Amino acid sequence: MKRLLSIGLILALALTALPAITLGDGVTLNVWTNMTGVVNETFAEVCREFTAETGINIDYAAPANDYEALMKTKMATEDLPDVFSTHGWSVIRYSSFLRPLNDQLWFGDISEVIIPLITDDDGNIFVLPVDIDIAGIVYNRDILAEVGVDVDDIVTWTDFAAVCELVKEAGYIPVYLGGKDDWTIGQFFDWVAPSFFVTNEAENDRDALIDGTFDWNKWGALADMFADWNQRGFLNVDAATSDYATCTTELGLGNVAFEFFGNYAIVDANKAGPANLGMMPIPAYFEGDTPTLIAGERLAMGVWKDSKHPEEALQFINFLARPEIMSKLASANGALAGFESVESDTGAVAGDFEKYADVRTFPYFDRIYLPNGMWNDLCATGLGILNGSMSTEAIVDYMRESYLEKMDLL
Amino acid sequence: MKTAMKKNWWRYLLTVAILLLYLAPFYILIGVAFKMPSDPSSRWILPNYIYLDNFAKALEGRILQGMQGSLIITLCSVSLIICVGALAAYPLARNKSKLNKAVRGFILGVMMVPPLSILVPIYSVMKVINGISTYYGMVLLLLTFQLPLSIFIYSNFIASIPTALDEAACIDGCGPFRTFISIILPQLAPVTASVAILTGVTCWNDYQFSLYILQKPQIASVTLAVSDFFAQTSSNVFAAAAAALLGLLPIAVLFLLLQKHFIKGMVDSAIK
Repeated sequence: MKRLLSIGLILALALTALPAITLGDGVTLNVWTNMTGVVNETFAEVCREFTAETGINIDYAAPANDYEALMKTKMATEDLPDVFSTHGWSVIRYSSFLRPLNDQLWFGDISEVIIPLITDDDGNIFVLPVDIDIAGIVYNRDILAEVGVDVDDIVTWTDFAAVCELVKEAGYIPVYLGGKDDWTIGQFFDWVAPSFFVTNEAENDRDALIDGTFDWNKWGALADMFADWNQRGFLNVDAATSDYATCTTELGLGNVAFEFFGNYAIVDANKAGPANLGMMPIPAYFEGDTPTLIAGERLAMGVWKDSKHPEEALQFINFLARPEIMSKLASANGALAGFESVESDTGAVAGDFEKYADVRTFPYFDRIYLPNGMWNDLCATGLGILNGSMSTEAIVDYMRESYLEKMDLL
Repeated sequence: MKTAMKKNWWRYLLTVAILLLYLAPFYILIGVAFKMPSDPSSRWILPNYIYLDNFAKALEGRILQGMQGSLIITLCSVSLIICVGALAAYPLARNKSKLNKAVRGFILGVMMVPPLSILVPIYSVMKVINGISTYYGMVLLLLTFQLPLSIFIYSNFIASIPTALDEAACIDGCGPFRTFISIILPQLAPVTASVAILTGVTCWNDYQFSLYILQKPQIASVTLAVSDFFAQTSSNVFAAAAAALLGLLPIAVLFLLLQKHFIKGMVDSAIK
């Protein structure tokens, strides 16, 4: 018996020496993305197609929620995947780890919408934008029709609040948030803040936000608007404790008029029910300003500058840049393709993309105008308003202090 | 009997309350695992139907692969933790020198270090020894962080065994190693069950190291396989519950098999 146990133990120990299994021989690329669901499956399929065509193996990983934490550790230890997605941070966070891709043949094909968002001060781009994240507010067309509102009449936040009042009176929830997943609250501020501080050509704080001279008392107007909505019952009663899954379920069941999510929420909402959903631009804060859309990276892939297999990594990037592959991945995301010339299936919002093609786009607020690390402050202060623990003054002080600290100005 | 029950009613009430507190997560887990994703009823309400698709989805994921990985990792880690821990604890318990006292203090100190606070150095070392995405990398890490607990428990237990046994063995011609193997080791069965359960459960449930070390999709642990079902915008809590239910079965069975020894070990440690 003892001998058997010893043999068992030795065998088990021997098993630990086994490295991860890879398919076939030759070069193996480590490829990581932050994609989930259908896009993740489609990407895995594309990886298999690449291996079948080139014989180059791919170890594809998509650690979902843990992607950012893992990438931070990998950056700290300088051990990045050969090819990885930059989830909106190709310039600010990852550019020093990535190989510039301006020399690739497809460089001139990149869409005009995305190119300023992925270009650094020296004119370098570090990623292949497979698709473009263009987002507004997701809304229920039927509810707006029922209360007799044309979505294009909603130009300012005052108009938006008036519609919320009508929606509430009609027995629907105007805006749904899922505070347990606090990013849903952070995203609200990320969506709305540009209209207060960035989009108005006549009066904006773009430079002040970047150079550290921003007057944070101005943030009070935004916090007040959110608190006012909460007080007037425009938000779901469980806004602080609900979650993203409930947000999309309620949207799909046709109980909610507006949600501040990208178009991926429509895909998730359709799982709960076939609600008639669309995308509208984000209203303006100032009279005279116009509604805008948010634009940014969605699936953007870069090559680690110290990759042991740079040629193969570039080969993979160029494979992703093929029109049919790019179209397949962009369609899985329900997003516009990264190249002007490539068509994609944008699903329920295809008409909206066409309708709002000329609407001005602005980048995600926190990615450009807030120092690294302030995303959590957007989430925390929003929750503070919802649970009544923070006054407007407290939020302004909190944001100012965090901003100055992270800008090294304290 | 009835008088005793009447007198101690609050103790029974407290026991029931604690029991309910511990059973509540399992109750919810079972309910969710058998519930249809489209069922909007409260998590506290058990479904009045049996829905097995969540288990099918769980099995389509990496749960079996995760169970296999966790089994290898746990088996190897616990075996090494027991062997090395017991061997290290014996001289520490028997030779009460200043140096050994300092060593014991150091080992206890290591137990206080939160592993994630030294994540970057750990990851760098793992990278150098090619331990990333390997079972041996995981085993080494778990061994490192669980060994202090094992040494602490064993050395306390061995200290309570009369030294007269060692002296008798010495008279009979045994060296220290033989004394340990033939005389001390057979006494350690109950406490070994305690060490095996305490460290085994930790190894099986480990998420923090698995997340950072097991990066290739071909190699997984139970916790990673369950976490696959959670993403910012597309979570499947029902399949995750089914996967978690499958994943906790082996360790629950192990606990049930070893609980007699575990309790004996705890009691013996307390008495001695």
